[in-house]
Amino acid sequence: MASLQEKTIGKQDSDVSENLLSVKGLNVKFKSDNTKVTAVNNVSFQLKEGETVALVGESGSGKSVTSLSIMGLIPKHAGFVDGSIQLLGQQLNGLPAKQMRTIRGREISMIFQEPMTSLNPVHKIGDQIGKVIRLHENIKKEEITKRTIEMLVKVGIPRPDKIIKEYPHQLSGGMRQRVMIAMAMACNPKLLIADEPTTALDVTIQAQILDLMNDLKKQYSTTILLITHDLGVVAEIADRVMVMYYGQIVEEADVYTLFKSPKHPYTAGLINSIPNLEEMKSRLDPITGNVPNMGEITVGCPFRTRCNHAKDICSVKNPPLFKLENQTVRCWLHENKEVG
Amino acid sequence: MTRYLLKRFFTMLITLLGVSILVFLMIHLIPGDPVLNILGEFATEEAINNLKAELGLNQPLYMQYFSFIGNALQGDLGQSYITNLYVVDEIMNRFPITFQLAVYSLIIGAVVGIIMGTIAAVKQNTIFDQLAMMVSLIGISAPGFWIALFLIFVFAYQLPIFPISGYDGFYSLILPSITLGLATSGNIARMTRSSMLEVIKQDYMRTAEAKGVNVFRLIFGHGLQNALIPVITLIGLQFGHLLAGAVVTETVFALPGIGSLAIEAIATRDMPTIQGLVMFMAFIFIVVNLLVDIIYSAVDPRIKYE
Repeated sequence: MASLQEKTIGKQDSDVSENLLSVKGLNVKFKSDNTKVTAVNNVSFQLKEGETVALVGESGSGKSVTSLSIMGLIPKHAGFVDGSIQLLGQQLNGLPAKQMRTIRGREISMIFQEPMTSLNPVHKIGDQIGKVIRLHENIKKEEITKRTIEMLVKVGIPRPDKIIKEYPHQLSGGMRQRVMIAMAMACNPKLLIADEPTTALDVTIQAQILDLMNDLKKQYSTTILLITHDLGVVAEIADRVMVMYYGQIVEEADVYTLFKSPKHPYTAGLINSIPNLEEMKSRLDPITGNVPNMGEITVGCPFRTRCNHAKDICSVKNPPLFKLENQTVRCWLHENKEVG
Repeated sequence: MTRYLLKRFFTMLITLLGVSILVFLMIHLIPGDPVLNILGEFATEEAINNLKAELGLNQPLYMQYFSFIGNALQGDLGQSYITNLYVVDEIMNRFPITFQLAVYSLIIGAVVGIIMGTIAAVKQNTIFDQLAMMVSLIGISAPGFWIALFLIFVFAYQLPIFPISGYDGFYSLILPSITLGLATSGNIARMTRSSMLEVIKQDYMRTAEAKGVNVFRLIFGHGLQNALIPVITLIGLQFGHLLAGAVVTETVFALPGIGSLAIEAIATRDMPTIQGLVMFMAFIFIVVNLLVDIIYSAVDPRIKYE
């Protein structure tokens, strides 16, 4: 009876069950000198089981910080994470370290931008993958080796029985990223966070890694949260897109709607800055200026300084998210087009 | 690997040859006459000439050098002017004590230093960090004889647990080992701290954390092996120094090791003993360096010797 009660308490406030991950009112602040700087500002979103969602934005928009907060990897002494992060109804933010460790690597795993430096240079490949399995599953050593080799086969690494005895420096960047993926998928996690997984790789290898992620997604029905600044990658792999600017989500839509009719001037700017072969333009249309530094803008819309459509209200009040027919957008231009 | 070792062996021979020339010249060019030292100021001209002939000191310098190096290659470093004992025997009699002292001190220094340095890095800018760095600063800056006297006063005089001085087995090496170990640990702790701080920031540490590794395993299983690479160089250097004889510590504790032998030989201008000792110490340093390089390749798979 007591356990049932605990379960009920543990599950309270849970969202609709089909949501795998539900983030509500996420705020992340960092200590800087004597002030606190906001890196993520009131971010809310849901991930459904099996979908691939891209989190897009320029450097410094808060997308990596968002993903690290989900993993619980923001160091306590450096940052303050506030808000609700729920995985299948279980509250992750504020979970004791020991319990969080059982979730990391098993329920949620992560691959990083830099395959060259993300693997421990003094441990063998086999041991690094085997470690995840050993940490989360109570199985025999031979079984672990067998599973490790299976994982390497799945991510398309040739001669896996030989590779497990090799060290990271003996592999190329693309191979190392495959190893990272094998490691992340070893315990069949529900959520895979991929933080710029292809940024450091050259284009042909990028395509291979994206194909691999697509294959694995189909095979395991893993939910993927893809962090990237590359809209090409987004078009390749994502079902839904969230655009981040200055620590907030400014637009959210399915991938077709977003590319066809971007509503936020920032999103439109991002799409316009991609070179297009069909429309031969002599110059691209980049967004002028840079993302303002965190803490620089305190009132109004943070994008107004770079926006061609800025109105009076933009410098007074930060717009809320307006719900349109197929997307949500944080821009005063769409104030009157809201549905529902 | 074999080829590498052969190459290292030849460079070792050349280094030793260079050391021998330097030592030989230095000892023969410094003022002071060993013959006068042996016979006293009032010796007759005849006696002086006889002894010079007997010791071969009347021959030209290069001839003296060649006979020295010729004998040295056959394992003969000459006889002491003072005790008439063979220098090689003298060194071999005393070396075991210095060797034990060096090994114990290094174990204490490395274990204490690595643990202190690691804690300081993991708990950076906290009271633990400051405490560890203060202890290491004391270890580095306090003179060896002062620590030695302090330990003798507390643990041999006030609390008569250990002998005050002299060599009588393992027990008499404990206080000297702590004395030397403390100084060694200071350097190792500081090096470990800075190296560990660098390693903690690395991407692979974040990867390990993302796998669900706990803090203890993260630091000792994933971080330490990487952080130890520069520390090993320091440990090797320290070991060389310790093996070359801890002159002050051996003197304070009256231990009959290599260090006190060197002091005696210098005080009496016992040239063959001094020469032999310096050659021996150079040899030890070279061997320790080679060992360090071999250990490197075991710790860091990226280092391979061809």
